[in-house]
Amino acid sequence: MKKLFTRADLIIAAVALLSGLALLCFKPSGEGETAIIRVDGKEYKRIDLQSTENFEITVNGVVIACENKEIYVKSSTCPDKICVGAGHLTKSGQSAVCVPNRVSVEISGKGEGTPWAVTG
Amino acid sequence: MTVTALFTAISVVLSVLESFLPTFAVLPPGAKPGLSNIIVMFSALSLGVPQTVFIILTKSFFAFLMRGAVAGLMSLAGGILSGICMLFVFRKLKIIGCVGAGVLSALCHNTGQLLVSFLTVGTWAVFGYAPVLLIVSVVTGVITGTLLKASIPYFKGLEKHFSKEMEK
Repeated sequence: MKKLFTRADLIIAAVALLSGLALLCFKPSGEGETAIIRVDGKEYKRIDLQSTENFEITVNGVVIACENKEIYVKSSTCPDKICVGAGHLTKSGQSAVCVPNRVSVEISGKGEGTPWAVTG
Repeated sequence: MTVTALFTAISVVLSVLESFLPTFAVLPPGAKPGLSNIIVMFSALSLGVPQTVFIILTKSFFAFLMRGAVAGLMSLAGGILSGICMLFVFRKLKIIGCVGAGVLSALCHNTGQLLVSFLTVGTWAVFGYAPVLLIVSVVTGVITGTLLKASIPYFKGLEKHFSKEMEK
């Protein structure tokens, strides 16, 4: 019969926990220059954060707002609201993703084109 | 047959009940304890390969009906990955216990779901949620693994009882 807990279990749990914590500590720091809104994996809108006016747009039920050079998901029709939970995006590499509505907002820094992009 | 149907029903009921529960105060959004994984693990441990496949497919079908196509695909991808992993763990890797199995199962489930998210949204940014899921997997995996260990005798009892009924 299977044991409740073995040494191998401890190693598995520790490795997963530590790698998760380590990745969480790794925070993006570069100044964000451009925000890219993607719908169904395709680029929908590209916004220059330094020069843009405040605005609000709705795509696939996701309300994306931009205030004071910060872009964020204001509200969404999805059940989990992970995209809203991502908060205000300012740093290069930060992102807010709504999987049920297939919408994402990503920030890229100076010079780098679209580091996280794939053509969907 | 009866035994497989019974355990399939239990796993579907668990996942439906779980989706009705408000997001657990302790868990981040989107994360669920994965209680129905307990049944998949027991099936991989005690019932057999076709039975486990049947339970996983039915579970995904119900996720598809209740929460839509994306949720169904996520459940399927996560289910297949964790199902394969569990069959392997319970049949070949004797050094892994119930808690380890629970954690591995949760990790595999989340990996499958992230892959489907990646394909649906088409951006690497989905993997930004991976660190959170790694930590959550450990917590929920320890819970489901412990519950599995505690319920094995009862599940075995059910299995035995209903196999006997069939012979009569």
